[in-house]
Amino acid sequence: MKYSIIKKSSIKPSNIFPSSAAVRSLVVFLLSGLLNHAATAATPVIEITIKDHLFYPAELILPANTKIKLLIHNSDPTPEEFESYELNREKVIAGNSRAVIFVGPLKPGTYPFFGEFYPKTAQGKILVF
Amino acid sequence: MLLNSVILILQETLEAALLIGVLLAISAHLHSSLRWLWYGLSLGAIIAFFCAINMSTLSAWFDYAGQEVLNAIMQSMICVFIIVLVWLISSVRPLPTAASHAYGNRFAQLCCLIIMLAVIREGQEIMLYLSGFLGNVEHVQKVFIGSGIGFGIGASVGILLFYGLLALPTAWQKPAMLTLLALFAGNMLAQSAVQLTQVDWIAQTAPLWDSSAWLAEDSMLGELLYALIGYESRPTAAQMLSYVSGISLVWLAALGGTYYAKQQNLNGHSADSITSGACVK
Amino acid sequence: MNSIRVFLVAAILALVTLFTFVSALRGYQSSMQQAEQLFDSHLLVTAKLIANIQTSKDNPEINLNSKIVFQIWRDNLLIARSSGAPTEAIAKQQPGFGYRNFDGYRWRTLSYYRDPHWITVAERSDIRFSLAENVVTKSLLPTLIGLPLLGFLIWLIVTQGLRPLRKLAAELSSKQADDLEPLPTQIPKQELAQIITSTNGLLRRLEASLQREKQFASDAAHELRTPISSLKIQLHNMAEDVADKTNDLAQVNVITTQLEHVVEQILALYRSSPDHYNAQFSSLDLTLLTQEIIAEEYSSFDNKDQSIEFQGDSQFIFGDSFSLTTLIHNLLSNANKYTPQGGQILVSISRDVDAVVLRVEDSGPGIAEDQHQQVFERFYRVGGDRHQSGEPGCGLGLAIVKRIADLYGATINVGHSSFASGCAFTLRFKPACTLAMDPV
Repeated sequence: MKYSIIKKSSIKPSNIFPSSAAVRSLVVFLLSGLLNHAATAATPVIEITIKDHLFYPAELILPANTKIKLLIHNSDPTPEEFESYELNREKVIAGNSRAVIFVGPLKPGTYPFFGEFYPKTAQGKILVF
Repeated sequence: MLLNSVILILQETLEAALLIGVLLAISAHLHSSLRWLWYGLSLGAIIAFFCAINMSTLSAWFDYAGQEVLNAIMQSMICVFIIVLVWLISSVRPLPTAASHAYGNRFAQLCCLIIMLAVIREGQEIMLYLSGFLGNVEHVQKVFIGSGIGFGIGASVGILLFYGLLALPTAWQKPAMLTLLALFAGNMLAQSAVQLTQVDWIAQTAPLWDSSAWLAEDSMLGELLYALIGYESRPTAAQMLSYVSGISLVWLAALGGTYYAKQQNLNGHSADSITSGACVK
Repeated sequence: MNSIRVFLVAAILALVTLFTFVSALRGYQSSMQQAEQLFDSHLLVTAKLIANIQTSKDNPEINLNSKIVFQIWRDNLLIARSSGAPTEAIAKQQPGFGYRNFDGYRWRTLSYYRDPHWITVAERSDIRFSLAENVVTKSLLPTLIGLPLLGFLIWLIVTQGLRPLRKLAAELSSKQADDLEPLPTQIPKQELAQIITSTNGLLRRLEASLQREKQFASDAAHELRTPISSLKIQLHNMAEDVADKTNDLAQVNVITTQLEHVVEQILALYRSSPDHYNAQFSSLDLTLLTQEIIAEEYSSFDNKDQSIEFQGDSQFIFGDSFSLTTLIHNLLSNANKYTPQGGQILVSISRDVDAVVLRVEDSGPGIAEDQHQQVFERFYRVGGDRHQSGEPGCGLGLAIVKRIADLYGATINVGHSSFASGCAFTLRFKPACTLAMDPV
């Protein structure tokens, strides 16, 4: 059930090829230009803490089609790597330091993320509605 | 922990191993010396070590976009060096020994730089990962066994790629090597786009498609294809665009180099005939 | 990098590593899955056990003294829990397994409904995982430890397998330039048999063509002998008949003598060539032979007023009298030619620790040091054709001496003589065992 939204859409073979939405996003990207600094100011910030190789909170609920700035604070002395295949994000965070990752805008669905250095315990997900 | 170490080390090793495999095969093809490999590896490892111990400082640069920006710069540089390398390989023609020595040197320097950059990127992550477990009595053995397995698989694939390339019919060797280099260059540029998207220097757009149901990125084949041709199950427009431009640039460099070599050959011949004419007089 | 051995070892080891590691990982994954299921079923049994326990309401906190914590809920009211369990719900009231973070750990949770109770049990996932992994890792370890050993064995086997090739290479590279003997064919490796057969065929053809060349030269020289002899007789008769005692005829005579000499030398040179020559050797007294030759040639020394002296006692070497006679004769006539009128020649034979030494010294003009090696080349004459001595010569004499010395495995050196001027030729022969002496 976790992957319901992604799976449903990907079962249709036509989706493997660029859809009209994809073409539109390409155009949007081309128009938006390479540097995108102006938009960052208004981005909502959500904080995640890593402690004892666990994410706090382990579940985030975000609105759809919104860009979010994740502020990840690793309070463990050991480094951790925030990783998500679904979000296409990967970032090493040294022990006792902070990192920023931008996420979204996202379609509704579930986006699991995990700490690649301690994946058994450091697991979480972003729920987008 | 073991499987996780395997995957993590394999991800990092595989890319460097494949790159080294291709560059070694080109070296063997050109009968060039192999000193660049050791220089590249050791220089890369040293710089990676300093990057790893200063990771939190580096990360805080550019308003916490430091890591991504540095990675993107290194990846773009690898792409640029590959383009220059392809130009160099394509523009090779029968040269006098003195010039071919200089040519070999330039080739070796480029290979050294490419390997160094690849090792810095991959090495710092491996070092950070392993450092986290050094004091951990419970996990350290499994992590190191896993790392050994991951490294072994990565290195083996690199070695097999190297011998596989050399086992190809001679006429196919150069095209195959150039194709792999083009894919690497595209992959590097695409990865740099992902890095910049992550810190919002490039706007995030919806993925062009989602093929994760067919081939998941975290599967064994997915990892291999990711390292080899930059497979991504949910690529964005920026990624695709940089991937295609990386490949096109390498292709252009190969074409340009070949054309340049032809021109040089023609010029060289006419110059020769002029000098010989002067000698006759 | 271009080595067959490196290729075989590296490629085989890479393949073995790849397959071993990937299958080890597969084994790891399935073992871990099995372990997970085992732990889960254990958790379910625990939940069922707890459901069957009659809980007393006055003791809601039960000390299980276990890694497992549990809660018993009734109508959203916590009626009992283990001592480690928190007071908040540790899992949703939905039947089935799940994961949840609490108490600073990640837990595997199970909710189980037994009317009217919800039993939720939880087990620390990191401990479960560690336990399972410890077991699985121990089963993987032998494979990993075995790999370096396997690598070493592969290296040994490849080295052993390539040994015939290395041996063949060594045999080929140790071959002397003029050694055209076929390679030994008893090497059983079928892959090399073709190479050896081809190489031997090549050697055979080469030897045949060299043989033909020799045969041709020798036949040609032989055929020339008779007409030259007749020519000499004719010239002699002519000199008798024609009263013309001018220089011209004498010159023709000299040239004819020279021609005869060349032909004789070519014959001697090619007769001494065959490689299996040594097979016919027997022990003979070098001193005796030398003395005989000196006696035979005495007249030519006497003609030039040269004094010739011999020193030495009986020394035996392996050889045959024909080639040794040619050798000594050539050395003596060389000394005779290039030593001026009234000069001195000393021939000595002595026994060194490991050699029989034949020395021919003269009081002639000597040979410049830079020409010491060249004198043994065919058709080389010191000072070119305008040799001061004005002697007829073709430059083959010393080449033949060298050739025969080589056949005998003897060394030959040119040096300064013990006279005021002149040169000395020193030959060092392997001595024959005097006890096994054969009659000459």
